[in-house]
Amino acid sequence: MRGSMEPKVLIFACDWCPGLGSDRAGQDRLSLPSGFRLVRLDCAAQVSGEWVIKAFSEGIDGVMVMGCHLDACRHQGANHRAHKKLETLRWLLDGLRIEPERLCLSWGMGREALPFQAEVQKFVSTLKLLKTGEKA
Amino acid sequence: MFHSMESAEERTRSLGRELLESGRITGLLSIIADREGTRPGFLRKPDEVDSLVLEPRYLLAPVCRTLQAMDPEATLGIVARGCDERALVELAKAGQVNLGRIVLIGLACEEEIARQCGCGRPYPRKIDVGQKIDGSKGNVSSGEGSGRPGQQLDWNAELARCLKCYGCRNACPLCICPECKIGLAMWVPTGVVPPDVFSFHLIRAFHLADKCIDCGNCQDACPAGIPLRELHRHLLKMLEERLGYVPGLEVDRQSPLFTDLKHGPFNGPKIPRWMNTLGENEL
Amino acid sequence: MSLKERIGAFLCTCGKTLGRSLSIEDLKSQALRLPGVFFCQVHDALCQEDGQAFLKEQIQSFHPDGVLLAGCSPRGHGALFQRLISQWGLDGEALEVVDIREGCAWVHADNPDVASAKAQNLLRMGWAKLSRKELSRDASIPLLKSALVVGSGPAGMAAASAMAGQGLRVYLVEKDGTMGGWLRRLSFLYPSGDEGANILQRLKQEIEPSLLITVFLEHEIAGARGYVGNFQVHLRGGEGPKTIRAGAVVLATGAQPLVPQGLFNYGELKGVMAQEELESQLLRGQNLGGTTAFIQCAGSRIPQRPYCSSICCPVALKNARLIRLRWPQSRVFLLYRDMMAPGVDLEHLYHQAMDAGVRFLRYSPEHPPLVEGMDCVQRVKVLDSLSGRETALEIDRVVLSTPLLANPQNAELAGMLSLLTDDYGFFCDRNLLEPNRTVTPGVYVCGTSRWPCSVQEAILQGQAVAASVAALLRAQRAKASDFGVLDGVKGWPAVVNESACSGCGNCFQACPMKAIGLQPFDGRRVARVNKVRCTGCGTCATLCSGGAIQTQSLSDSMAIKMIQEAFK
Repeated sequence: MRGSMEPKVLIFACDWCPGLGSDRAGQDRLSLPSGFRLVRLDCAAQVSGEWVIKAFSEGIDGVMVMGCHLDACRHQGANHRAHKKLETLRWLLDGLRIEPERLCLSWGMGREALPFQAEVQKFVSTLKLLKTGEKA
Repeated sequence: MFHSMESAEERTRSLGRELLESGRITGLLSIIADREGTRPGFLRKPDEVDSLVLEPRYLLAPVCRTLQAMDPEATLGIVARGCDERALVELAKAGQVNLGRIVLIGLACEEEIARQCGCGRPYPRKIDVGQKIDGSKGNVSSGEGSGRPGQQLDWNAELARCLKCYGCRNACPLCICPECKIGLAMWVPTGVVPPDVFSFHLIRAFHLADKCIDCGNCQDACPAGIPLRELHRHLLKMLEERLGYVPGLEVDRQSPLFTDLKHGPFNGPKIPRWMNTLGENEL
Repeated sequence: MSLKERIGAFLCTCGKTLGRSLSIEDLKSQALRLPGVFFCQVHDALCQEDGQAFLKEQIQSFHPDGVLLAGCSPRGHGALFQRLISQWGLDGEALEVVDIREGCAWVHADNPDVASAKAQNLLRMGWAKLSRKELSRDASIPLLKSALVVGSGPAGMAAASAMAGQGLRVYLVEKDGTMGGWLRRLSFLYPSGDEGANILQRLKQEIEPSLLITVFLEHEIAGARGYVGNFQVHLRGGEGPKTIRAGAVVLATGAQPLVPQGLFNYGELKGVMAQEELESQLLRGQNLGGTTAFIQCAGSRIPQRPYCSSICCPVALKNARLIRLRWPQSRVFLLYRDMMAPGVDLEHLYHQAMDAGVRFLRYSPEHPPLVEGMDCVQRVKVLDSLSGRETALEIDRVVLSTPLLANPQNAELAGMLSLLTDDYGFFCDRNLLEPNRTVTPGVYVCGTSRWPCSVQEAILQGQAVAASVAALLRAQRAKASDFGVLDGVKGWPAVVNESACSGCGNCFQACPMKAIGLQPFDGRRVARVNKVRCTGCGTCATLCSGGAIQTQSLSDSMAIKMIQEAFK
């Protein structure tokens, strides 16, 4: 994205809940921030910590991992492990003084249009605030 | 001090000779010193044990793994410090060593060495030689022996000195992957030095999050003097605080990253050596 | 990894609407610039008949090795396109549908420049994913024509008998010394009024003489391995451990009523009993004259157990009426919170109970009845919530209707077979359209092990399961891809690159479906994936430091390229 002030956000969304939310947000013609790209997954547990690291190294400002509610993963709770593993990555980022807020984990919030929009907008404003501060 | 060092050495030698003479072990892994220098050695005969020394501190566990791969039936002896034992525990969990065929001569690090190293547990579970010295803060992870807590460092400056020599990865006892990811161009662009901070170091630290046993080999191996240990220590501290897990202490306890959030820190199932949920059939 | 070299790209304008929100021309030229894309066609409505015909003609003329399709969300017509292209000779997985509508044009409607730039990135990401996608061979699995039923209550017996009727070999495992489960302890059944013993006898008669059914009494399940079509279930008991091989496993482990310890002075006063004790007394022909009070919802529909056990009201109605009819001088009170008697037969039973002279008193949960007495029960004080009056009833016996609790061994079985249980310990079924199936293919549940239900319904479920199992095991073999399906969507299993695998076991330990095993290979151990059990969640791949195990739907190389294309 050339010369835009909008934070670049990569969203990894599981197709079951947040994927549905994304579709519904579109159907309701809600307005979403311009800087995000969505990757659909079979399960949010597919997101490897290394992918997040790679995204940051490619200059992406923030990564969102959206999955189903913690008790509702149809892959028998795979999202629990995903959460712990990505929390661990957040601690690592923190240890290197890279803002851990750049990795957002959202479980079960993205199934309907308005909550999906709210989650994305909230994350983008968090990133905008970080941008005005120091970026490691 | 010198006197007690000698007796520690002597004691280790006599234990080693005993094990070899009784035939319980095929050979003893330890540090040896002779005309050719000081280096790790594999002693097979009791009279070879004369060359056994205890210093410098050098992690022998990875050598154990290589030896076992060469001769899986042999029982090996090893002069093991706390870090050796922790490394062996984690390697056993990963199916890389057979603890049943290893006999440990437990060596507690003496004060000078323990202070220099700064790990939280400079002694093995069973101490055969030496006196137990308390580690920094009494636990493995939050050792601040080097005096520089991880978060105060300017990592950009520190990692800018990296030559991508892979010394840290090569020296680490738990880096065992046949095709190391950070050696692949897809993950870490080739021909770029220093490597992108994220790709190389973050990925390695992340992989070792629940495996690092704080031996310090990575930092010792780094020619650019990067305080790599601090990177891992921070993560180990968080793992202990938040998930109640310290790697290297219990061979039957699996990493919390493999279980649901509902399973508390102490509820992981035992890890069987072989388990086949596939039944007898090829699929 | 080989990249695709003949990708056919199709851009759908969704009835010309997308052209208003983003530049289709720019998107087309972007597509043609992507390496490996050798044509790009624009169409107004690919999902419609003429669109489908167009797709077919293009694909069959040009034989692409992959299809990149941009238009509406893949949730819309993704499955349709997948089906179509596999009918036309391509692998259904060699398709990537990129959402430039719901996720792009429609949410950036006020900003066509943004929408266009984003659509191009999304197309590049879709190309990145498709060009690096590797498809694995499906596996063919044998299907044994046999089933193992755990539990010989009415559900288990009905299932066993029906499956034998379909020609399947059935192994019926029962931990007690006789068949029947709770049916042995029931006097009369609702709504038919049949004697429990009678129904039990008839069910036994379908089982005992059958040459196809082997009953293992006093046996329990010690372990289970394998997968659909070929389970190996280890039994303990009898003369020694044995292993049964079966194509399907049916769980009919039943449930048991809560013992109302600590409720309504049960155990403290004589004459306060649980409903099943009343059933025993009815069976023994004990005198039940005098005054009886039934108290419903004893221990159910409360915070720690907020469910209705569905059988307690019908059972109480049946028993209350029975007592009134047999002992005309008796007085019977039924103290209820809500009367749960759905359906024609149960509503009829409710009226019959009223006609028989049972007196109904409604209480609210904030003011439960008080059972009083010294040594023996003497009275029950109840605040009638309909009239607001407190009444004291002189009582000879109190019968507590308690809920059914899940069999405590369900958790262990769930662990062995990788099943889900709900908060109360009952086995979960898959979804609305597959009510007796579990998340593990080949494992079915029926009867009260799934949810509290009547004997009649347990039998119904047992027969339903039998029909499913018979359909499952009809063929000689099946494809692994038939089973990695959740809600109609196929999840592609993970694959292992043995030369890159260190055998560390991270994946094996973390797999939620227990679909990974560790096997000897070249002097060390490596991971292997069971394609039937794997649902493609990706947990294994994220924990593999060496990248040896990957999910096919999004491998590392696909993901990295997508990340790199996302903002180019």
